Amino acid sequence: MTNPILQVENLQICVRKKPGVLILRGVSFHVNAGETLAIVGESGCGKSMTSLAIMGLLPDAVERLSGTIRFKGRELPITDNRAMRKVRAAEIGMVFQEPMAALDPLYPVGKQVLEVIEEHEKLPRAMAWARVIDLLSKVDLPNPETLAWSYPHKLSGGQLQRVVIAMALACNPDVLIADEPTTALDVTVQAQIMRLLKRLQRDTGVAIVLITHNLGLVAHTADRVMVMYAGNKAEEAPTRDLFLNPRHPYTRGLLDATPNPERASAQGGVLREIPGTVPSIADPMPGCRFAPRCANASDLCRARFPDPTFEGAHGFACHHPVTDARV
Amino acid sequence: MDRLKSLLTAILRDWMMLLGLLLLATVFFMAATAPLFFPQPPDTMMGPPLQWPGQYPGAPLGTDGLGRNILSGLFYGAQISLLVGFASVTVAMVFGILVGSFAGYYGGWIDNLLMRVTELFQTIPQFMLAIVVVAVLGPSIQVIIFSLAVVSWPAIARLVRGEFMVLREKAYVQGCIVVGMSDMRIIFTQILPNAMSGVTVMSTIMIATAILMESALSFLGFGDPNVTTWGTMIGMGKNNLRDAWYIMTIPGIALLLTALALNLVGDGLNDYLNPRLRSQRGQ
Amino acid sequence: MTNPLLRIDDLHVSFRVGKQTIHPVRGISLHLNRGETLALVGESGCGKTTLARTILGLQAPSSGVIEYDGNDIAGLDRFRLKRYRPHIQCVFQDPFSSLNPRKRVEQLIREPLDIHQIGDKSTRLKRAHEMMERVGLPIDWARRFPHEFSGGQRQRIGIARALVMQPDLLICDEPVSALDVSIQAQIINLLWELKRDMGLSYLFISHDLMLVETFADRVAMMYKGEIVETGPARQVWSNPQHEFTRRMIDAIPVPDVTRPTPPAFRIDAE
Repeated sequence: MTNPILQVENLQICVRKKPGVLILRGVSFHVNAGETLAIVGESGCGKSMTSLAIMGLLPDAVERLSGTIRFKGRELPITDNRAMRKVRAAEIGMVFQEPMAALDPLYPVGKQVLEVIEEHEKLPRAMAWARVIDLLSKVDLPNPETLAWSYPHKLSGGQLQRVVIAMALACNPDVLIADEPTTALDVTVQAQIMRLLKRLQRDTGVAIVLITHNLGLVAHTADRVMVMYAGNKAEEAPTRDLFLNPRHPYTRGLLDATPNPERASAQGGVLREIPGTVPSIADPMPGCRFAPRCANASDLCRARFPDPTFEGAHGFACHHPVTDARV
Repeated sequence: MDRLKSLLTAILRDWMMLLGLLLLATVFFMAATAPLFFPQPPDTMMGPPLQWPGQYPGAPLGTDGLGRNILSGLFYGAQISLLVGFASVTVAMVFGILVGSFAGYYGGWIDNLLMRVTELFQTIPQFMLAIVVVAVLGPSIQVIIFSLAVVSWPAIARLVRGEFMVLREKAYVQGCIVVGMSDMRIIFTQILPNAMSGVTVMSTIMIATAILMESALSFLGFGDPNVTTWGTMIGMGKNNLRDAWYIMTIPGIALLLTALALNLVGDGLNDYLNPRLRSQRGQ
Repeated sequence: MTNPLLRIDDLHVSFRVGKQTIHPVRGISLHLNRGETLALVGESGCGKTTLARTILGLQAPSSGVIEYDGNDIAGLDRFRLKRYRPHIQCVFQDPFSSLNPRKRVEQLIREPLDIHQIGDKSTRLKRAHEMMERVGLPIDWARRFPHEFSGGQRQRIGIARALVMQPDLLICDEPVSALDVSIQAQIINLLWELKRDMGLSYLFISHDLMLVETFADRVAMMYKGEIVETGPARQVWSNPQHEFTRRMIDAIPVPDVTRPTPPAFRIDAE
């Protein structure tokens, strides 16, 4: 029952002029209309680079080596900035981690939302402003008519993030990419923002790509999850399946290392850890990049990167997947 | 060893800095070998006056109004320029670092007091102050070095103060306080080494400024009458500007190239030190 | 009934920021027993970092008592505070700015021994190397600089430096917040082992209640400069008394699909 609106096929991104140093090593995934896909991973897995690639915002230091990104069936011209400007905000919106960095400190927040609307639609000023006020109230900001004239430094982190969400959804895009949208916020504000996003999704049908390292968020807000490690996709599954039946040892390790006061603590230490660290992107390991840290690793793992295996909607790339269910 | 290697690679990649270093090396060479090439003092009248470059053997750059060898003057003048430049900036750095580090680290009334003193020196026009000091204490190389140091230290103090104000809030400095380190130790062993890169770059530019100011002082007649400097040579050439303009121009070019060399080296150092710092700070 | 290792009584901290006076710590009282891990949990701006800084002598209190092993150290000047330094140390949050970038690792770890003249030159270096091993760092990296290490490794260096004098009390201010989950687990486990082996007591400051629940003995919840609730860790989690604690727990998404969605996340009611 898939209805993909965004498809990433075999995306490879490398350091400019150095095709041997790969940041993304051939990642493929899709996002269905109206669903929430969580992309989970730790530093160096490439999840942020993926979102930047989709938006055509890759930094100068990197370049696409191969692979395509399709939106609504047609290929996105991610290296053509002028063409991508029409896509951004109008078709694919983006929310970043630091709201203060996304807003210009010299202009009132209402004007900044207005700017997004005027960039993409020809509306008389009065109508556009009315839409700004409407958007600000939809993101639960109090007294939107007055608040629209406030400068960013007068608002709290949570309020700023709401403004950024309003800007991202101003032109009714079909996909919203949220890259760690709540990491800089307090736990209670985080819950408010996530609830807002879910409600907006319910009301507008927007698909959400939630990039995060917080598995707790994923468990309660995502429909499907993709786990990334060192530039590869390790595993992909509907949320419940991933948590109850993780197949890739990294996913399993990550779930076990995440604090959960309800589960009895693991034997040995306080938290079950994953030994070692992520390999450097310049390291040309031929096989699976998780092998040095994996208890199941064999010579096959070190020699050859595993082809993806699929069990229904549950896919993973591992020669020796985990077979016992989690307690 | 690693740091030396990376410095050398950076230098080779940055040809402008390389050029600057070559020019600077030439000036040092001239200063060092002056008595070797020209055993006679530079103010010796060794040939007919007003000889153009190439006209008189033994004076490849010509002679001035009194028959003195211009090339010899260049070589001996290099000694003074370098001496004055480096010595005055060194003194300025010592004083400026002391003032700036205490002001920046302690803040409060210490900062206020030290900054008022600094401002006092900064509001007086640099060159005027230099002239006044020389006029009061008499024109000799030591006094000139002192007066240029007096004029240069405030800028260093301000820079160091700014760096200290930022660095003292860093977690590792706070950590040193928790470990029980004394303020002196923190200032000199923890913060100062991290503040030096800005100072180093600024000092190269300041040496250029000091050399130019020394020349200006000599040109105006405030220099040490017993030595030949590029400034005095330019001053001597005033009267022959119309027909023997090379007398002024040649030392002038020497000054230009030396100042340029120091600026290029300073820029190169800046480029070298800043990206390294960024990666050291983990950004 | 033995004395607590750390006892804070009605501590107030206020200071001027520009023209305003702010009051981040308003009458805090708490105690930490020997061998205990007390977690101090609060959101940003609640004053927990100011409290840590005050205990460590980086910030002067306005009033109140800070008693370490029976001695009042609140408001002591740097000179008189120095003899307590080997007993009370800290680990900071940011692995990138908490180590002097110009010092080699072995220098960083032996520095506290130099300051307090513990042992002599040869034993200090040896002890620094021992600490490196103890925290899981390769000894042949002893002469490297901090920027050559990863975030998790830098935290290990910070821990080694903090523990080289064998303190009794370690104050950890968000020591793992800037680290990936898998590295977090490594560092928490390391801290746990070291506490057990060296007989330490921890004051662990964090915004993450779920994290501290896995290893803290007691938890103190801090809100707007005050402690609003204290108790055994399990109890605070399963039976919160104060509204702030309840609100926070309602908003924490536990990474467990078998549990219901946290109340603060639910949109069905709208």
